[in-house]
Amino acid sequence: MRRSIPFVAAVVGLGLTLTACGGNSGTETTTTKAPEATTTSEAPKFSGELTFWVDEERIKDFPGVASDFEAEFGVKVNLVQKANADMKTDFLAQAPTGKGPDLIVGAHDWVGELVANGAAAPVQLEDTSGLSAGALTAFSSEGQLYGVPYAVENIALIRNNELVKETPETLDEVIAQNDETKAKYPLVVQQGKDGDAYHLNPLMTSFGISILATDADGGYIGEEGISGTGGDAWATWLAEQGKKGWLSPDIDGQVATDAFKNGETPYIITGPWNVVGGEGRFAESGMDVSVLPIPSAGGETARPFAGYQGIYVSAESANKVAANAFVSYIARGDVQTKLYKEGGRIPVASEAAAAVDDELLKGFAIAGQDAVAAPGLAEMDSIWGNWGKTQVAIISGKAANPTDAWAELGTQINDLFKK
Amino acid sequence: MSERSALSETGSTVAPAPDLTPGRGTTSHARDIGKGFLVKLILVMLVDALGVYGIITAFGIGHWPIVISLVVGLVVVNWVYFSRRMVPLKYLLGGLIFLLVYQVFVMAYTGYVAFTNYGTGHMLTKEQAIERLQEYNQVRVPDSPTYPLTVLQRDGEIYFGIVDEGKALVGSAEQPLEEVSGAEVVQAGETTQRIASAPGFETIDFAGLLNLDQDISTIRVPWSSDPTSGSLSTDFGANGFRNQPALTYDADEDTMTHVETGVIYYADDNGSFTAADGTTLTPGWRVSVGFDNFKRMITEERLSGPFFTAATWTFAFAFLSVATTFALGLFIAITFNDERVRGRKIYRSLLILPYAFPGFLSALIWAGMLNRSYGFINQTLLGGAYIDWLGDPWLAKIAIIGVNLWLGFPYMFLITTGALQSIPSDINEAARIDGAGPFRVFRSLTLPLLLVSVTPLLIASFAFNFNNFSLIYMLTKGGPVYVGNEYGLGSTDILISTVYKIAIEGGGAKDYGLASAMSIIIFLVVGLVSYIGFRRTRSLEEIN
Repeated sequence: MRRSIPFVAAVVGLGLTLTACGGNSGTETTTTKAPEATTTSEAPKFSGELTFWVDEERIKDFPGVASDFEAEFGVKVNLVQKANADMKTDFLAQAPTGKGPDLIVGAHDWVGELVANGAAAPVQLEDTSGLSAGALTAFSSEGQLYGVPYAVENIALIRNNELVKETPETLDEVIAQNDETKAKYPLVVQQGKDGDAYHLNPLMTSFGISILATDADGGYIGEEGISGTGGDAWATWLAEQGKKGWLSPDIDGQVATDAFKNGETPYIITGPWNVVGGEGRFAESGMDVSVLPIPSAGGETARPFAGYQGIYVSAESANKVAANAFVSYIARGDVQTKLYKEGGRIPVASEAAAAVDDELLKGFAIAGQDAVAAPGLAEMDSIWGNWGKTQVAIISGKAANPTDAWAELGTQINDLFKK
Repeated sequence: MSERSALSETGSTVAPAPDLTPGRGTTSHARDIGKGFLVKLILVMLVDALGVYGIITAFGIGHWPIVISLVVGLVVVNWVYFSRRMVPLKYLLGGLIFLLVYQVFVMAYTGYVAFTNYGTGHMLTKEQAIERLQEYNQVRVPDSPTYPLTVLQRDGEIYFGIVDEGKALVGSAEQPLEEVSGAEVVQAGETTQRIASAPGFETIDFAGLLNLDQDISTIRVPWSSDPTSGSLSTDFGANGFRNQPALTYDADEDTMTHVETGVIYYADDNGSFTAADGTTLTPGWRVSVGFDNFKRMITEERLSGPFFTAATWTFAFAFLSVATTFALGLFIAITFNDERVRGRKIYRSLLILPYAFPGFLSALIWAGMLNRSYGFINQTLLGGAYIDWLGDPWLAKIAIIGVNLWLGFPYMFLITTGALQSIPSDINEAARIDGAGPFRVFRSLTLPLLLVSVTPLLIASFAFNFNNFSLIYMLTKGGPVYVGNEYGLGSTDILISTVYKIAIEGGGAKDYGLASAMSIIIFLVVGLVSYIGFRRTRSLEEIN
């Protein structure tokens, strides 16, 4: 089973990690004493190996890093593939019993629910200066960190360079540009019959509103932030675009990507999952595309949601020590660089972010400079649905009075938090 | 087959005449050493081996309910298969065990959950919740550094050692940090130092930590004898952090007190710590709430409205589905039952096709075909019409019943074809001679005779459609949604998809207790409808 080499390595490696701050070897003085003999002569009986749930999208990111961790710490990490859709639900059901995994990979907006159910353990890191502040805030709840971020993704405006070469500043101009291009749609933003608030959010925020109000430090509070003149202007604008026809509940994700692939539109607002890093994506299907920041529709900065991916430790894990070692390891810059090299996601450690060399991913990173983390409050589950549906009702003309429907959404959000 | 005269085994001097009729052994065939016995022995041995393996594994992880049920199960299995008096049970035992595990246990557990507040924020036991609240409310002391930490051991007790302001400090959970003399200190970072070893202590490295019986991440070493000065904890034995609790728990009073504000939170009956002003701390814990979940279905407006609408629609959907599929299936069956139709076999095989595809696949394809702008129905069949099939409450209901008709008529066609062929044709002839027209024959003879054999199937079909989750979920996801409903319920949600949305997809709050209570109601409804249906069937049978 195990050789003793990893343990020699572990002993030495531990000394290295204790001083590792981003991988540059500082002044190291390891212990002068020989390590305990027990660690080298026989394989110690571990309390267990780490069980790490990873979803189908991210399973390819981790094998290399997991084996490096084993070489350095002597703890085996078993990657278990778990469907993304079931991950959070199953984890919440299993974590309290202590029978669940030790670690899971998940989105930052799970924080609220994982903490409300006492499923995630707080994480304390030796040094967080190398990680982006936004990512750390996103994985925190009431000032306490509950997960270690390792990747970020956001949506951007993707341009088909075969149809147009230049992109104007504002969204209205982008739509007007089609008078010359004469494509079927000026641009596509996926909605579907239940709406898709995530993809419309950058346009909404360009009207100077945000789904929830924020406090002085930019943290979300339990109150709507969509009312007022900005909200009215947004609702009116939505209804107008719905009449123009490019924004429609009939255009779901499939219809939108197909339209872009078939050259029916010069622009699509979407994320890296459609653009780069896998079979059938725009770059891999041989399209000539550019990734650009999202133009403003309402005059203010368009801010897409930043979606951070990170690793949570189970509160009832029997291997807390090893699990904490693993998440601290993931926070290191050199490890995140390796994760980027193998998984092709934009890392959150600044050292690793500097190593991003793919033009398209760089474009996403630039488009994400004004991104804000999506709220991680437990109530968001319900808000997402209502938000999308209200917008679709306005777009499709079902809401007789757009501004009233929009105000109604604000009331609903406030009611959720009053319960 | 009951056990006949079991001869007393007195080592009879005269061997009984061999009885060649099968199944008439003179000894119990539970002990008849023959080929069959050997096969049985091997099979039971396999079952036992599997069971023992399961017991050992469950024992290893300390899962007592499984250990106990496996032990009882194994004893029962061996007793039944080797006892003389248990022959009838041999044929039932396998089914019985599966019935207990997959039906009775699940129902009992659902019943239990229905009377608790199990769900978001109430998943833990009270002990776990108290532990978690304290853990979550450990706040890093402002501006405190991260200390390179060494884990030490003395007399079986774990000590943490750090170097603070040049002094080597050592402490354990019982003993606050104090200076230790003679410790060997080495440079750790550029400005920080760590203890390499201390006299009388054994230094434990990372590999050693994994072998410890206790979890060092839960150890809190008091910073000093003053409890307000905070405590020292570690991540994985490499770094120490100085934290202060923001909440303190008083076990005698069963209260949590916020250190800064002094607000006292009392443990209440709903499984949370609640302050006088009504604010609660999360996470809470799981408690029994009696009939609350059942009451909420009626009294809470955001539940009761959708619940009763869903109940009405579920009945309508199930009834209409059965009625339409039966009508169409019967019509086609009667048509193809006429010998004057040519190519009946080909038509019949083609008609089975909708039934041959998996239902949820068909539902997905239909959802695409019914898309307002791009769907086949609007684009091709209706020449570019703009009908919002799945976005309008009434049209969506019609679409669902239509799709279900397409999915379900072949089944009805199959069973009615079979039933029609079993009706003797001389009855028809007799009626014709008496001067009855074809409709009269159908109404007074064919249909009643048919219903005798197919009514149980119609009831089964009703019960199936009552809980036809996959069709609803794949076709409309329960939509169009009531804007503003917290659980995302919509106008085509049937009861079972309502339960699913509340329990699994829940808008922000998963409520397993409420969903279980609803499941029980659904179970009662389906049970009652089936019971009444079967009672009525019996009266039909008196025709024959």
